Amino acid sequence: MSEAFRTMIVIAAHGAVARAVAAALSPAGHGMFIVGLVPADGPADAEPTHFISTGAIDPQFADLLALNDAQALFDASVAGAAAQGLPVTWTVEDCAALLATSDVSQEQPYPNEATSGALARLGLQIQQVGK
Amino acid sequence: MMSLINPYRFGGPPSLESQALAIFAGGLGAGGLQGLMLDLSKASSLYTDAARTTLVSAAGDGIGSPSDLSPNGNHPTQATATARPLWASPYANFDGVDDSWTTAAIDFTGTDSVTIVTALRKAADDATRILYSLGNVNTEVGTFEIWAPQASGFNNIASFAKGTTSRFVSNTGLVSPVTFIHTMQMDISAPLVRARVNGGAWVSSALSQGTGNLGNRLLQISGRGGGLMFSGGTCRQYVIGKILSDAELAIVEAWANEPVLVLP
Repeated sequence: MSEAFRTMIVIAAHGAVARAVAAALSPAGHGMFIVGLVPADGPADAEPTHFISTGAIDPQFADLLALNDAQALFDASVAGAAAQGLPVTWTVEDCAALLATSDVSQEQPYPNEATSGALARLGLQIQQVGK
Repeated sequence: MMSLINPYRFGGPPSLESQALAIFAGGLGAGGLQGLMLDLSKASSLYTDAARTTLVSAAGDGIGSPSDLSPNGNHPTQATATARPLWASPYANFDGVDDSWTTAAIDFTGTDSVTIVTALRKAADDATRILYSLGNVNTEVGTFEIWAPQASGFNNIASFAKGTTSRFVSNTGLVSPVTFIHTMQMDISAPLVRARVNGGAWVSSALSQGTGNLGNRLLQISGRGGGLMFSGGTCRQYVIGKILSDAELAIVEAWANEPVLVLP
């Protein structure tokens, strides 16, 4: 396997920054953090409190997140944005806030034999919209 | 003495795959039929990226684009890395969060009929989850969707067909996790929508679906837009713009069953 599995959950307030940084880091990062999460003990159609992205990512991306280094994340995302011709709309402070409030794990979102799942651990459920 | 007209002399009978593929040609002298045919059990037809440059090589790789084996080239794709179903032979596993594929628009406007056969493992009954969507059956005409399940705790798979009026049938008693072959057929003008599990009895509806043909739309596999994502795995998927005959269904269901062996 050439990719790394991660479940990444960001608070809604940082959703726009997370989307922009992920898109800058890789063309395959466009479209991340669009699935909303709401508290598990509330209505499933409430406004999202968090956004989630879960699946296989480039190992370099996983390594970058593991550093938990806002400057490194900012530098890499700015370089990626330049390579793709994207505007830079975030700051190193945004990256610091994003890292400080995000939950990044190798857990599956739902329970399995190995784990209770990231959603249960955080008391969240997928937002249900548009049935 | 071997007969000169022995059709099997070059290596046995045609494979189920080749027979299922041949149906897309529409029979002798007929035009081709729209749809797609996916085999998620074989890494050799799966690409990790949406640009279709790198083949899947190991379990856990994301599938950015499975190959449509039919002549139509309706290869589904997923550009976002984390939204790619993960390969775990013989399945593509959809995480129920954001994993999905979407084709380019498939032009079904020449027909009002479709048959869909899927070998799948449904993993959750916790919420409405959509396996196929040609468009929103609540708001768009000329569409179909398959919901698995229809709603929290329903333990079912519901097949929706719509000309200008939406109708559906439900196969029940499918408590997740469960692996099965699901077959759905719709014909707007007949009118007919019916579905069965593992080649069993049909659940049918002959209520009017209104009028018109199917649309020229994207086919989303798992979810509709950014929500209602399917949770579980798909192994083989066959979508074709016609009502398959009993003989054709037997071929396609047997092909879908090969990796999962759930048919009686």
